[in-house]
Amino acid sequence: MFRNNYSVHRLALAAFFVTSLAGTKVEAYVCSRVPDSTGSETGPSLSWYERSLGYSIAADGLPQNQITAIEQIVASSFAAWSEALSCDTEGTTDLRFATETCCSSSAAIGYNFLTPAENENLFIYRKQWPHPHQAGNVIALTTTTYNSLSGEIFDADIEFNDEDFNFTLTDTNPDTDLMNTAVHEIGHFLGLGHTTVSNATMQADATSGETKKRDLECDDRDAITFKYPEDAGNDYCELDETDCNPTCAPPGILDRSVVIEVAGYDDGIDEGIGCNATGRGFWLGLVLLGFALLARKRTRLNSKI
Amino acid sequence: MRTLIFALLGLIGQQAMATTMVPLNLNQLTKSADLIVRVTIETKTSAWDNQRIYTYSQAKVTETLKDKNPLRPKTITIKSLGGVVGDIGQQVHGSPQLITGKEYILFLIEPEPGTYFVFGMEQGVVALSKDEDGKINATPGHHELTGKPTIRVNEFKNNILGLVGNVSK
Repeated sequence: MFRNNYSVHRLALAAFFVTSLAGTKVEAYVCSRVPDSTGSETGPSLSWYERSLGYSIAADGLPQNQITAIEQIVASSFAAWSEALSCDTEGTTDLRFATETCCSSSAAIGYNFLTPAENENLFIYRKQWPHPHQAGNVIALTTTTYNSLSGEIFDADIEFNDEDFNFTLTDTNPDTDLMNTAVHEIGHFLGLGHTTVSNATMQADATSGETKKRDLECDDRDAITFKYPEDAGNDYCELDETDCNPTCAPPGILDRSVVIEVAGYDDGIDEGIGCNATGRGFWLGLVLLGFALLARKRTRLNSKI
Repeated sequence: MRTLIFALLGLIGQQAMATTMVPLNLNQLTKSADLIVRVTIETKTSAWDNQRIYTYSQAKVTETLKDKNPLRPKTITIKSLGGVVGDIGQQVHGSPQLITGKEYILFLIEPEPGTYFVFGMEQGVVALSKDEDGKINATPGHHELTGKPTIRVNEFKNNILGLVGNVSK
């Protein structure tokens, strides 16, 4: 269990064990983690600190004659996770989900840091896939925004590529089964990565017409009850414990203000936008909006752990 | 024999489908990429664009396996979804994770001059690393690309060059 008084010594010890175990092939669920400055995922695991999460289904792109059915499938997909029981123990989770709006007028993916309250955890059908470099091979995409100090997830959005794939809702001739896709993507939404465990919902590979990922396997259920156990803080263990999953690290300690930077990037092509060739002025500005945010997070963190 | 192997890999690629991505075989990646290069990632910078964070990885090109532009600069910038700016991070599952200091073979597209993306997201990333004997292995993002977790880099390059030759014809 994560404790508020984690000492530097214990964290160093944990880091040592993570390093020691890095070369060991462990087939178990995987927690997504904050990357370091080189891009290696070595930081705290990504987790929601709230246990009651809302989501919205975007009106934009939604097939009008299937709205009710899609709402039900998305709700069932979330329920697959919230009703999970772990396999090896009798663990449960107190994660709960509720539809905030159906259907939302928002189509904004990502994170609005200027007005955080306006962010929605959005499900959106994309009739025109907005990522041309991925055209034709990406079925769905989950974007998770988080605090890189603590790993706390602020927002998560799931886009379905309705331009290149035919999402089906029933067992009759399933093509790209919506629930099969949604349950997997919600795993990412909750901070899980891909596992190598066969038949798990969080395994990356699937077959066309597949529906087996609608139901969680042991690996998935153990993952969610480990990360979000009933009536307890995130169930991260000390890495020197024998049954500890080395791919899931404890949340970081929030020891300073959250800094939100507004940065632009000059690709060197479009002259006049931002920066010169030396990179001077590369950062367009630095805006500190974190004080209120920090106060909120600190309160929440202290009440949770 | 090689043709047979590629044909089999192609069949595997058509039958299997990732939940988030359709697996691409080596033939598809090679055909679709505007350029295929061996690079070392030198620096990375992330920045907001609207409500999204993108990462810009400066890559030094050390070898070119496919490219129709002989005037291509030796340092290119690869754009990818996700990254960390200040204390806010954004993760897009399946987006290429390029690590500073590491060496890769990348399958890239250039939708507009000077802007490069990895084609097929993480499938277009093949990490290179030395083994105990000092030989360099290639580890693709998806096993479908080679049929096994790792392959000697020279064998992998020859496979690509063979396909590039066929594409040119």
